[in-house]
Amino acid sequence: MTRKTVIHALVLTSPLFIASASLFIGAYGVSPLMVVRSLLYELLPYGSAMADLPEKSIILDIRVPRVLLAAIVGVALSGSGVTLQGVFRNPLVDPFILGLSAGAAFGCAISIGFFPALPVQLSAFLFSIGSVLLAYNIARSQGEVSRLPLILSGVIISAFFTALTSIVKFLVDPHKLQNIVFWLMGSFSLADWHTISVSGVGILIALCPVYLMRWRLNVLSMGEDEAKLLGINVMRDRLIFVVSSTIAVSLAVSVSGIIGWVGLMVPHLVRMITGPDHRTLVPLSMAAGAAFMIFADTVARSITTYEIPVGIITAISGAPFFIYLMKKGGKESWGR
Amino acid sequence: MYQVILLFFIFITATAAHGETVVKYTDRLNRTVEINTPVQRVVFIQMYELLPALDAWEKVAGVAEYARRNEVIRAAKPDIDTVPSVGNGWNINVEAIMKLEPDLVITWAAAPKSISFMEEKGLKTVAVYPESISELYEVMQLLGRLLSSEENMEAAKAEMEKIFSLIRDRVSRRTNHDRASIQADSDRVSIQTDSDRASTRAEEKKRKMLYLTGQPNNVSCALGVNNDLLNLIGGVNPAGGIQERSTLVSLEQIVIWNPEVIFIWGNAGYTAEDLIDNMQWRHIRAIREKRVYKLPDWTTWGPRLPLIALYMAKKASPEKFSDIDFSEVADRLYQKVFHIPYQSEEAP
Repeated sequence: MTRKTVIHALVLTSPLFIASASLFIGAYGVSPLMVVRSLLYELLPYGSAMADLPEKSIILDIRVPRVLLAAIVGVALSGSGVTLQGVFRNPLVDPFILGLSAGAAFGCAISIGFFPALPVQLSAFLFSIGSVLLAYNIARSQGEVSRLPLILSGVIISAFFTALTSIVKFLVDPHKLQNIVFWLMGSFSLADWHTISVSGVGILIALCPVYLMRWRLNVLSMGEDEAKLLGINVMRDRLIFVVSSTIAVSLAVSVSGIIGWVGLMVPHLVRMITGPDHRTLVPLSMAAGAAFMIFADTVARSITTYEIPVGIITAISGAPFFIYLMKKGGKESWGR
Repeated sequence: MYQVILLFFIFITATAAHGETVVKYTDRLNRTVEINTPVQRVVFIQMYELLPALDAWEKVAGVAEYARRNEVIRAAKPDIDTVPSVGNGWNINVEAIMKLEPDLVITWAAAPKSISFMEEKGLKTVAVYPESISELYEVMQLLGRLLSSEENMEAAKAEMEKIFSLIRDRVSRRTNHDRASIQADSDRVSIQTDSDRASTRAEEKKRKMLYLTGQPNNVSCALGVNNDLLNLIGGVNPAGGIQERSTLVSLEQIVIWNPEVIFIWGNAGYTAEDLIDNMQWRHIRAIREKRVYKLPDWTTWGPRLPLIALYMAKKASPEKFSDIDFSEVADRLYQKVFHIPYQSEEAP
């Protein structure tokens, strides 16, 4: 077994280790034995006796869904980050580059501010998808959808929806404003099985094309002309990658709020370890994203009596990392 | 809490000079502001629900946009839209305020930057942020003095205090159930139980009550009016040890606290049923006993504060308030303080 294989195996299994450890950590003092018994209670012969124990509920209804949701969102953000970095051949691209987070924020703001009947998650999802579609259409109006116009359109759409969100924040009363601010900070504190069943499955389905076509990212990242020479339909593949990533991240944002830096930071870390081959980079980034997100959320919920929004933890760790990247130089960290 | 009250300590000194009276006031930002009274033009960015009680509309130069949407103000002054709007607490339109040439701007301490900006532009500002019932009274007293409406404010305070006294009185009464419960506990503890210990047990018997704000896991803590309300109605806030106004906590923490009664802020985007139907909350006593109540969406910085307290008290201790007709009490306060009838649907 080569050293490389060992590293890959470690990264791939890291979410399992961190998730397992995370289940033992929490404000409610559940003994390790009870954690294990709760996890196995359906299988245990005396399991039914545990049905009404609060400890079992803490593990199965609160901690497990939370850890799972953090893992799924980590997969979505990191997987989309590495995909879009490959598509746009830019190491500083993150999943929110096409205006997705700004659209989601606006969707959240108008739902809370003006249309309480419209669920926040649904509104955030629709507007995040809508913002990327808008950006894509603006870029297409220039003719072929190439990288620079698409990124520029994303910046424009981001600015536009950010301004709209500011208007909503200005108009709503301070009580609703507080709700908007909380949502935007990002958190898994209210994760439940329903959320996972709706968003988790959607995210995994959306990321299937990315996973199955990941080798094409290697070709796309060589450059448009080279990819065409090699027989790749650049426009079609780019669209597939962008749409898949957008759906995955929109679903993630709709259930967790806006959690920055993960999609930028984790792929870089993995790329530094494993190199730029997307055949391994994509699955390893997804695994590392899940592990990092579970870790960040465990920190967020356990270092104080109160709950720290996980977006703050990722930003605190992400910002210095970004500075490091800038100092080191984008091209060097890109690995080519 | 006491430190906060001390910080907010008002010292009003009046000095007669050329027919004017100067009021010195140490505001929430610990600034001593000197205000010549009576003021003639005031902009209310906060505390606007006191306007119908102050009944000094001719001195109101401008109001926050929110004031124009407040149902009490709209009922008391149907032409409120004719009073210029100056933005809101977070987004103050300083140019609009300057145009109004006010003597004084009543704003909140949550946006100190805008206050220093206004001061630089020559606008006199007072920053308020009542953290308790007594601080609310102090601000009412100040505004009454500044707008020459001392009598109105005293009358409003008296009406409010009547309701608070009613609550204190009822809460302090022990029902047969309370006595039996305390006695049973005392008997269990030890045969050495004396009256002091019984009293301590009574204190411990206070019901744990949690006040949830914008998110289900965002709880009111030691600072702020909400904590005062919980104490007033005979509860004990399990988050009262956290020196914050409110904070996010994990669901596990709420399960550990296991409150007997949960109140939900009136403006929260979720309902009591949302929590009761949520499996994650099912081991919390308040959820099991369906003692989760969403409050009216009224501001706690105004004369309706005692009505919120009464609403909570009736929910928390229905046996002690069964003969109290909430709508009747509310109507009396509305008539006496706002000079309008109580027409809200809100009644526990």
